[in-house]
Amino acid sequence: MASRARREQPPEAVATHARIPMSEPELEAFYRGVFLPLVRRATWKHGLSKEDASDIVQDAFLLALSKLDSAGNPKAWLVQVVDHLALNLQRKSARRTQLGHRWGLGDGIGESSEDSELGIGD
Amino acid sequence: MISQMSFGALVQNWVAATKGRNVPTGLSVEDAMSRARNVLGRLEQSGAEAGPVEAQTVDVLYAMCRCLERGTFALETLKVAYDLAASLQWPEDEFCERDQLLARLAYLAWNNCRLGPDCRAMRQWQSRCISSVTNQEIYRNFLAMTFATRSPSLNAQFLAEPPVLLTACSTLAKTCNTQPALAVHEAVLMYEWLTSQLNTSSVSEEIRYFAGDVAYYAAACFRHLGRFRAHDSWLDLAQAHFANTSYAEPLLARVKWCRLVALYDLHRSNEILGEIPSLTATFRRCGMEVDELKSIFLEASALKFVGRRSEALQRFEVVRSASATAADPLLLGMTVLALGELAGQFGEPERALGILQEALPYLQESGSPVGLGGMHSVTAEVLRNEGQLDAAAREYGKATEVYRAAGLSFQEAYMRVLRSDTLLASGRDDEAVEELAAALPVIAREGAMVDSVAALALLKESLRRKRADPRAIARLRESLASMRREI
Repeated sequence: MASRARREQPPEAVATHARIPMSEPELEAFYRGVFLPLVRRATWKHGLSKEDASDIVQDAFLLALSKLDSAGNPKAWLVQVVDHLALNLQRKSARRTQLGHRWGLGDGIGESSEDSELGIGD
Repeated sequence: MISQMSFGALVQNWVAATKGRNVPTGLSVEDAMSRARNVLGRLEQSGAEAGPVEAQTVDVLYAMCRCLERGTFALETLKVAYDLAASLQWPEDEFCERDQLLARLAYLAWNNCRLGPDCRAMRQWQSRCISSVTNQEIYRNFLAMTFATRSPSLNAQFLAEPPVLLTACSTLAKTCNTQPALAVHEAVLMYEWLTSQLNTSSVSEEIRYFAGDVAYYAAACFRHLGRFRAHDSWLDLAQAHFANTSYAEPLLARVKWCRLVALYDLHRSNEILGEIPSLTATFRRCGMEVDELKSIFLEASALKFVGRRSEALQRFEVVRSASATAADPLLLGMTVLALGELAGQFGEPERALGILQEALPYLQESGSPVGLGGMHSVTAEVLRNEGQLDAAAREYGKATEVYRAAGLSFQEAYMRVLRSDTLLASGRDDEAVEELAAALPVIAREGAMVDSVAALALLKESLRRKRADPRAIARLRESLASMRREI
């Protein structure tokens, strides 16, 4: 499955947190402790490729910039969002395959340009 | 903790730092699967090797799970894979990946034992699976919600994971003893969900097992609630599902045991004594140690009921002294309770009361209202037989409160009638009337008693005059005892 285009982050969302640069060890820790586990979840639980899983996790982080409630459980929130995005992607893929078979087009009938619906509230 | 920064700040930094960059994601699925197959081959030959967990190792473990789920492997291979995952040194595991993997591997081992069959090992793997599932907050939160309060998509998402389904069914097994009035609703809804999956699931044999299991606990709940016709219907459903599983014998033996318990509850002990020895032998042959002990307990209870007290005592002692009983507070508590009751019947009231006090902490730990209420009820009977009427009335009151809190309306009403009878005998007429006034609406709600219409009318008249008629109470007491046969 081809990688999906990365969504540009809306400039107003950046202002929600005053950005203090992360050190390399902090980035590495985030990579190993948050990014990779979420990618593995999307891959092994939802049957996605690593590329698609990575895109979904980055999309989840973008959503977190504007929707994450820091008073709650951010990791549980991210897990829920990753699960929803992965299921949406699977449904899209299934519809695409179904339509492809119906019209005799084999694998894939081109990328959809629409953003996936998240389907969850704030 | 990854950093002193807030999580939101961490995410913002990450997004900025990785913008436009391809971030490495570890092994591809294909590479991980290839390595997993190699690892499984080595595990089968040389066993698990512990060491630190690298990111690639986690991918290989996931791939190994996928290989094991898609193939047929010996229990020994599953055990070695589990031991490997369990023995690895995991660093910070904020997303509980270790428990996720262990839950999946334990489930595979449990299912292998179920089909094996190896009932003893099945219990151990079930316990490990449940432990790993409940270590994860996301599943604890899910299981803490009742079925009805979860959205259909939430149920579909979580219950589609076999370890979670196994844990949910095991939770039902506990709550059917501790909160039967609530558990029965859970069981019915779960059963409907499971049977809706039968035509769509590729693992219909497993779904049949779980559907049978849930139907079995629904039956047990109905039995606790005194609804014996519903109990029989649900047990028939359980039997039908179990009969279509790969190894039905131990499951059908459980169903038979449940039917015999219902006959015992209906005071038909003579009908079950001939059946129990072969059932006990079946449990023993299948390695179902706890079920074997419960079967012996049932036999002992039936013997006690028909007056064969010495034989009953011998069997209760067998159950009490078994090591598996010590690990089961409900079975231990009920056994000690029965021994206390027997001591009372042997004419040793002080010894009986001492033994009954021994049963209390076990029954409290079990949380079973049937056990706790039964303990207070038996204590009340011993005290009443010794002429300690006020103390007996207090114990009947405790039993009433236990049954009322658990929603066991029939048992509550019966205790109120017994308490009323005791209060009347001790000259506390006004309180006897009050107790009856509380019992009668419950009795009326639970069902009509054709042969007690006169007794009910007399009691209502007594209440109107604020006097309790002992003959009417006695007649009502007999009617309540026989009413259970009709429900």
